[in-house]
Amino acid sequence: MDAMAEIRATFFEECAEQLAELEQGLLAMEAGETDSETVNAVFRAVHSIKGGAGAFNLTDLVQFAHVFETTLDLVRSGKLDPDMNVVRVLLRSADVLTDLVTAARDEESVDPSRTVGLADELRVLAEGGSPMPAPVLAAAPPPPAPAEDEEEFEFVPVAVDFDDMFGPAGQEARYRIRFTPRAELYAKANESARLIRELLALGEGTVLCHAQDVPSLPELDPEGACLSWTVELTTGVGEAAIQEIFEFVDGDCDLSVERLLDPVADVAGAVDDDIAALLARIQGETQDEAAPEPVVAVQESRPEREEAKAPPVAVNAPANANAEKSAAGAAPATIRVDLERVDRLIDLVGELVIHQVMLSQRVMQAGLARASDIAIGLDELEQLTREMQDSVMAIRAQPVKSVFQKLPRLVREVAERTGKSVKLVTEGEYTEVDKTVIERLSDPLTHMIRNAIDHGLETPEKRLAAGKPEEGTVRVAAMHRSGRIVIEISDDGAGINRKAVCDIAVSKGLIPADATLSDDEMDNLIFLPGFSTKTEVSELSGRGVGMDVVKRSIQALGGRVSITSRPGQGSLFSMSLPLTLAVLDGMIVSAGEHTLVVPLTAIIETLRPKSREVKAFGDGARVINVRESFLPLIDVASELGYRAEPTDPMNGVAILVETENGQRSALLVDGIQGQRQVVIKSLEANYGRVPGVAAATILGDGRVALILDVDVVAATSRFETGFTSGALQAAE
Amino acid sequence: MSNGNGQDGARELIAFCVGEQEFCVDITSVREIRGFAAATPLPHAPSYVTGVINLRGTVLPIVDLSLRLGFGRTEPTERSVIIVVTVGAQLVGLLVDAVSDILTVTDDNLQPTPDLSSEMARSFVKGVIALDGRMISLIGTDNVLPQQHDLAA
Repeated sequence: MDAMAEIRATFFEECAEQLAELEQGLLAMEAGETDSETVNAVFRAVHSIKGGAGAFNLTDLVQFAHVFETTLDLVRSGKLDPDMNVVRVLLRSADVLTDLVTAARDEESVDPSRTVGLADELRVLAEGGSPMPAPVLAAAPPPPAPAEDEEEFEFVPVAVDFDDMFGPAGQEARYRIRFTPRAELYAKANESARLIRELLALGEGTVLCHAQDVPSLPELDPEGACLSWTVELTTGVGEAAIQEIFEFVDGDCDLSVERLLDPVADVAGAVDDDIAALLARIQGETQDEAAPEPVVAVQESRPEREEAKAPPVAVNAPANANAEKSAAGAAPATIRVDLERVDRLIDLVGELVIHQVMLSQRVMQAGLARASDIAIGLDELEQLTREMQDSVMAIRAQPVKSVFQKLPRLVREVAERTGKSVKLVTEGEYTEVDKTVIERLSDPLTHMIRNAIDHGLETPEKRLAAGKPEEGTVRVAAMHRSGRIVIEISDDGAGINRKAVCDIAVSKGLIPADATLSDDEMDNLIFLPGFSTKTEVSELSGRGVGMDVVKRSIQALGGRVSITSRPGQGSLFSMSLPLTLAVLDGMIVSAGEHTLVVPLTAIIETLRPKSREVKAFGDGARVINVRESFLPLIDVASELGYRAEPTDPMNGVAILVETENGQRSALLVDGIQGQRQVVIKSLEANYGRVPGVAAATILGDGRVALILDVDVVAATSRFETGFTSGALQAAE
Repeated sequence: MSNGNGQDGARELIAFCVGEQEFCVDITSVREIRGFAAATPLPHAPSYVTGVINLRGTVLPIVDLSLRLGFGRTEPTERSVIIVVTVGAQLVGLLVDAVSDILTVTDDNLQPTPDLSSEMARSFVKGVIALDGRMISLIGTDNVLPQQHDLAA
């Protein structure tokens, strides 16, 4: 990747973060949090995207972001009330902005009708806010903001002259800009001269440099900031344009922009000017309070300032802010790391664990007393390595928030298209799961939510008729439960129409017409392959796939999904997934002198076959009678070619498994060694796919054991597609 | 680090014995050489794939080079070694009887493969080196692993 492409990639990565922040902020606004902190975060997100996009000449993106930003600026300065309608437009604009960013990244284009329509809506909002007469505004007190926020938002007390923003261009006005950089500004490689030069490009002006604070040479802090400037500028571009120049050094300097009136100014103007001067002084004083001695202050206050800046909210947030919000705001410091490096570390620690186990075994074999110093030391080593493994695994863990963040948009879109009114409630978004799981969670989750809205929720009319609120609720909750993550998707819709489901299943030949099923079994029919509750594939939830695909993709993750439904009250889908794909709960079994791992998720139960339960079936095949149903009995060792002839079932253990399409089989192994977590290692990376083997792992003795692909082993036997047994010749 | 291809066309090769014959591979493709370790056999694998071993956390397939080249099965001894080579993006362990030498040869020393119809000559031998009366065949490792469609069959 060349340097430019790398910068571009970074930009889009950052865009993704900004968009997430934008959506989060807008949702908070929708929920009524319209404090300046939230609004400012939203504005900043759009502004940064615009800035970056400008650098890459992404015209469409810049244009839309600009209109978006203008409207947001009105909200920010209190001129536009962020009521429900406004927030909804803003939310949809965020969606379009997301599309534009995606399109820009993939070098595609977005249907202009989407952007133009919304841009117009945004403009209407902006204009709707403008009729308020500017003078009233200038005299009005600044929009109510929590006192503790004041320091953060220098822009709040500054009266923005509305006429200049939207009034006819070319009307000249004089401004006095006081600009006092702080040391941080220089630390971030910004340059005062450049800013002033940019300022002067806007019009005619004079620059006055204040050097009185420059200390004598011995006292000079080379990294300090001791100069300030006053620029008097005559320009027709308006105050917003002036503020914009300083946008990127926002927070790293003290800035005041005041509009100077003509010499023949009226009294009101003079008062205005006085107020501005007073404000500037107050600001200056608060500054002084915190920093009595200007030069020293720069050094002293620096660490504190930096701290205040890194998590923007942490310091200023009221102590009693609710936990959720402060967790969202006070994002802990993070670093970006190449995933490969993390994986390498995980591999190494896995190897360390294996060696530690090996060492322990050898020491024990050497016959040392349990209480000997060496044994005690080894115990401690074991504890440390385990802890280390957990910590390293935790590096890959991420809150499910990143997936949940995409849901509001999805819900909005589906609701819009189905004409239903839907409220989304999410819970447990800080529940952590491995990154890979999160990535693969997105599709099934999307599908289930579409399904919940499209099939689950009734139309507003029907809901009202049923005595329910017009707005349906879809709840998505994540939680940890016994070492797994459980994600529940529930709706308060009509529940599953069991009769219709059964009729469809019968008509498609999935179940016999006279089958008697429990309610639960009927609900779970929708997961059968080839089942779709709608006769025609619906544009939304259908997309040519049914719930069986969802089930399969969850199973591919080592998870399970189930549904419970109550007629008239709604349905609840519950998926249970492993926390990581790097480790797996397995049953260690022996088959023909080899050790294999059977994933625990596939196992229903284990039993010792009795001779009267095992029957021959056709040519060499056998079945086992488990509670009056005959299941294929598969000798794993002979299936994998470890021995030519199947063993006597009475000598082994039968493991009842369920395959991904719900079929049950019994796998015959020679013995069970125990259960434990194993680290999953790819076999494909250096070799390739092996039928019947899902992956490999490394056991405590350092040897490789294969993880059984239960589905393939069971299916192969079922359909007799002909594995050539006995082809394998062991090298030992 | 040693460079396989010097400016004068010289390259370094690692020579090893398989049965009675001597072979060599380009040193740049060799990752490491390690002692023999018992492998876990893979189901449905060709006979020359003896299985997989644990190479510091990586699952490494082992190819019995003798079988792969069409000779008999290698009976691993304490002197048997596994030469870990990179083949494309993959790592493969080659089970050989012993490593014998590191050679520096120029392209002039490399003779074309004798015109034989054996599978070994066609698929693996890239040329022959004559050195002090010894004949050492330079082999390429591209085809040592079974192709993916062979595995899926």
